[in-house]
Amino acid sequence: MSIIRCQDIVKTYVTGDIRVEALRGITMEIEKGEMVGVMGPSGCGKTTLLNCLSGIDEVTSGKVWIEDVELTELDDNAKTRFRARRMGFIFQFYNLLPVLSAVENVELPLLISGDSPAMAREKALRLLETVGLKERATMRPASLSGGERQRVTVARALVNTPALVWADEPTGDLDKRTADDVMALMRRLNEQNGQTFIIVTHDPEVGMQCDRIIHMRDGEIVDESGTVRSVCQDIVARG
Amino acid sequence: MSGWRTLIKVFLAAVALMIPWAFLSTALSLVMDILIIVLLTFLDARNNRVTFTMALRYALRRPSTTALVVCGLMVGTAIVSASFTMSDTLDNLILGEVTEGLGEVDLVLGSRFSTSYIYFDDTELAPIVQQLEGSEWVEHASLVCLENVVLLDQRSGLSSLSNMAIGLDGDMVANFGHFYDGQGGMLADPPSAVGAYLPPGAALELDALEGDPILLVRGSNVLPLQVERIVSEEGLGGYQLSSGQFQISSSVFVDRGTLQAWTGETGRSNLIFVTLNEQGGENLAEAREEVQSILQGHPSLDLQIIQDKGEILEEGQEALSAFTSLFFVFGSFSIIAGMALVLNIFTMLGEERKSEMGITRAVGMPRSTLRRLFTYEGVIYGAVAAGIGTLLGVMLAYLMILSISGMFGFGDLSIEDSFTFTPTGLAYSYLLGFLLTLGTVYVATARISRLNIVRAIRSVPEPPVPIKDRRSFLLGWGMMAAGIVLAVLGVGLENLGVSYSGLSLGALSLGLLLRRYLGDRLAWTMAALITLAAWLGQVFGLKVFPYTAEIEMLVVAGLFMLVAMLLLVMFNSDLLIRFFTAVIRARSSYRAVVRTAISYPLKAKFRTGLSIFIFGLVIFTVTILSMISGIMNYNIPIMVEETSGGFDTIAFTLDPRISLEQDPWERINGTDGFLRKENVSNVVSLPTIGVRVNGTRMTEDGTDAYQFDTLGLGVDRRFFTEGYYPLAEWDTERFATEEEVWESILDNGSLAIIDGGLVANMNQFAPIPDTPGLMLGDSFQVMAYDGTLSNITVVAVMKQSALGGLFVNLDTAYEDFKAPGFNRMLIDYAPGLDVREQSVLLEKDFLDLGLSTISVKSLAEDITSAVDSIFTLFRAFLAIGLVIGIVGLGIITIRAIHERRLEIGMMRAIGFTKRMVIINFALESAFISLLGIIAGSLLGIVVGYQLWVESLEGQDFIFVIDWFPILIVALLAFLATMLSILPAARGASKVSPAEVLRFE
Repeated sequence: MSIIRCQDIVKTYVTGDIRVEALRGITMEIEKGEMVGVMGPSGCGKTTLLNCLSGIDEVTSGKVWIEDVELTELDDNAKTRFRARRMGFIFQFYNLLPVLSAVENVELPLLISGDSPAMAREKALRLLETVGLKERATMRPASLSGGERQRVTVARALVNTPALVWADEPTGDLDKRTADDVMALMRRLNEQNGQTFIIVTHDPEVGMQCDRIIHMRDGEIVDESGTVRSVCQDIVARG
Repeated sequence: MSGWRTLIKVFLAAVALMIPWAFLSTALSLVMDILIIVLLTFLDARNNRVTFTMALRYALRRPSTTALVVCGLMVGTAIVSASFTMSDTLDNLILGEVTEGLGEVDLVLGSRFSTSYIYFDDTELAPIVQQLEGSEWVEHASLVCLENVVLLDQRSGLSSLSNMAIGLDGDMVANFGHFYDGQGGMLADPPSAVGAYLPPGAALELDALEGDPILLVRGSNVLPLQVERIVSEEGLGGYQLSSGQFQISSSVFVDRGTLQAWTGETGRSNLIFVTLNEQGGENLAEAREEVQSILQGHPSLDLQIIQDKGEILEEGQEALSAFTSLFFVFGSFSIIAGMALVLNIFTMLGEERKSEMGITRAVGMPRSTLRRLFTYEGVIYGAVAAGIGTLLGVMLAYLMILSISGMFGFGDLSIEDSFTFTPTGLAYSYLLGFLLTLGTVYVATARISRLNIVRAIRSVPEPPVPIKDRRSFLLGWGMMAAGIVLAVLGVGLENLGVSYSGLSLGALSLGLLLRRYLGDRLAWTMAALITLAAWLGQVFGLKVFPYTAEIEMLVVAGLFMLVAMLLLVMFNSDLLIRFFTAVIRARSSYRAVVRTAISYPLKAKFRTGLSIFIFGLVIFTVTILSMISGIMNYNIPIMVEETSGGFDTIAFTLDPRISLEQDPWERINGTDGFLRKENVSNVVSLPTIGVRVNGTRMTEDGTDAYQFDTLGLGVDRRFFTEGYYPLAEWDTERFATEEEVWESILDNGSLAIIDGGLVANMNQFAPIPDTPGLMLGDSFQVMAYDGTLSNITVVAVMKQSALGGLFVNLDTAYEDFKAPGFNRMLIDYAPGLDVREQSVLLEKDFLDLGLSTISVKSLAEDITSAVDSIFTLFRAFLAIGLVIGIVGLGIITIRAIHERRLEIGMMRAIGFTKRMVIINFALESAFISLLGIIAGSLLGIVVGYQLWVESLEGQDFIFVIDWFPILIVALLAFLATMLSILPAARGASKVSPAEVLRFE
């Protein structure tokens, strides 16, 4: 059963006289519980695709369905509420709120969704325990290492039990060992909870841990079931 | 080595700045100093061209930021300039009024008895005039007659009650400044024997025209004259001699011989006018001394200097300087707020350019150059801002003067015509504004220049100062030492402000000294609590230093208490967050908004602290002003009621020698005049007469003799049974109740109750100069005008002081004091009537006696409205500070949004709606402004209470808090803040998450 469907997505950026077609009529489906990697050379439209599918950016044309809800038909508020309830986000640079502690950052999506503070705190602590950071719960992001920050981000992305999690270069700012830990964690959560992960990455090792790779080039999907090898060969070929 | 070089440079610069003061006037020296500072800056810039070019380009890079910086900087200068201009204008006003009102009459000599002057034969006075004219200081001296009269214009039918007829000769007119017509032409002749010269004020009141027949009325005496000229107030035409209670007299000029004949004092005069020559004007003290020694040569006449132009000028300037110093005091709050804003702006500029500055430091720019860069930028901003601010201040002062002139009845005074500013005032304002800017910028750059290069380049936030930081520890010791020095200095000077500043500085230094042992939170909380305890203890009577508080204490108290309060809040912010998130029962999904909205401001402690400080400081002052005005407005009507005894009107004859021949009640009830008899419900009449008191008092140095003139008032039982005149103190050993005291004076003619004004420091409204300082139990001799002597003992003191004199029984008033009859009435009108209107009718009915009235309740309304007006004016002045606070918050919000675009994007991505983003920023600003408003109001109430305890409680003022203006100002400030940040918050809500997450 597909959780994400999109049809003929076009995204065009216009800056003065310059028009850049970031996405050129993308159509695809992602099944529930899959861990999908999106790979391709720089500027091929990976992050744009993630933004358009998750609803944090508008498409120029085309349609997107998440869990059979047509996202492209929703207004901004409805889209935001949908994101808060059904999606989680992991960014390359963590993007935690520096003024909140780890647990406060994690419980933020729950509070936005209207959970009671006590319940939110309980769930957040449970998630932090899952990612191995319970004892660091009261620390602010500035006092955590890069890996710890990203694990807090993962916990924040999963705290409201989302149906799907978007990760944009989740290991881009981490050393190899920490990156492996974070990926292992994501894989474990994916397998345990059956949540769908869509991971935009440059890193072949990250790609290798995914169920399949969506290979992109120049705003188009080259291969929906590609391999890391094929993507790497493509990148090398194009310099 | 470079340290020595800097020291030498600073020394040379200081010498250069001092040189002009040795040779030039103040104004020119100030201008020269400004030029020297600019020149030195440019000389320095010549050796640091790149740095100067960078500073110039930074200043010009973002016009909107530059405009904001200049606006913030110019506020301080504008307030200084407005205060100087106000001071110059009020000086000019008093100088103009005194010069115009007294013409060339420098001294007036006479012998006062009660409210009139004793006549002497001209032959007795002639030798004195001769001696005076022989003095090296005196230009001319002339004999003059002066009488209180009522004027009636027979053509217009209008009358004027309170006038002084001044009888003068032709030579006197020539020597004392001449008369001028309306076009400024000098009049050759004095008034003829059948004519009168009217000044414009009297002419307006009478609607008189030249040629009108007028009557001068004094008791039953009437003198018909003709208005020969309506003269301008230039020269002698503006001359006025104030006399008696409650009245502002205008003058009517007549021939001296005519006045003498009419008053039955032919060949006699009661005043000598003296004009000093140039040397006399320059050596006033010596001139006065010589005139007095001449007068002492004729002791039998007992002549005194009764009017001294120089003294009036000095007293006027002194009184007004108290008023202008209030502008400086209240203005200083706005100046401090402006400085805080500049500090905030420059800190933000530093943060905005952090990464660029990191790179310049990385490629080799030393810290000192970075600081120089900002200082150059400060000089550029400061030079422009101080110039604009100075001009703006002049305009601001003009607007305030216009509003003052609209608010108050200054009589004939025209304050807007006196508007002026001096080059010295402008130069001071510019220099002060410029130096304030430079000083503030220099402090701000100290923070900026300490940046860590790597963190700056990567835009990583600065970590908190480590608790073992040596620099802050040393700074703590420095603060402690400065505190001790100040406290010792304060004790030496017996100055509460200085000593408490030292104490507070010492207490606050504990924060820096103890943080390495106790941690930030505990150390700063302790320091703040000790500081607050010192000030609050003082409010509740636990004074560390037993000195009297001056008005300037307000500034010191406000500053230190607010700083302490801020430290308390900022270092216990987690408790505050917990409190707010628990208290604000937001709709479930908005709990997240509340948390982020409060967490952000409390994280940026310095920036938030400064903003709260600005708000708090202004609200603090507004609260104090509102409290004082509330206390005044509440108490003045009560006191006026006590003064009036509960009667609607006090009526009295201007000349106490003139009295009613029949009981006024009978006269009013006898027949309807202008005033209908049924309109009057009660009349209590008192015989009143001028008397002279002679007494002695035992002092530490022996016996002290005193003598003064006052009124004797005869009272009967109705006075205190139908009227309400509470006593401030009485002989409690002899009398149990106030009524017993009153009964005792009815029974015993040697006992008197005196008004509060005769006792030192008992006056309710204003200090009376040369208060006789009588005390309960004093016994003295009273001399009537015919020389009859009687012994009187004071058994009680009244609270009121407007109805002044010795209150005795009717027998004593008539037989011993020789009161001629009733000449004072306390009147109640039928309910619902316009008191002022009825009083005018009463005056018309008693025109022949020159009866004047005071409508007590209307007077209370006038006073409270004047008090209100002056406080409104000060509040308006402070509104500038509030604008600074609001602008400051607007800037912070814009900056915060700019800094947090990425975080806003992330918040939007994880579920914050646009509305939640707007509410987030609105809540942040609301939180800051509310903290400022709450802190300022609380501290304002505490200090307002202290002001009441120190200055008003002793005068029987009841403590009240007028919440309305405090709440209105707080509400307006809050709403204005919300409105000012709304556009920026809406902009934040439109941040595209996809864009910022990708590109920033």
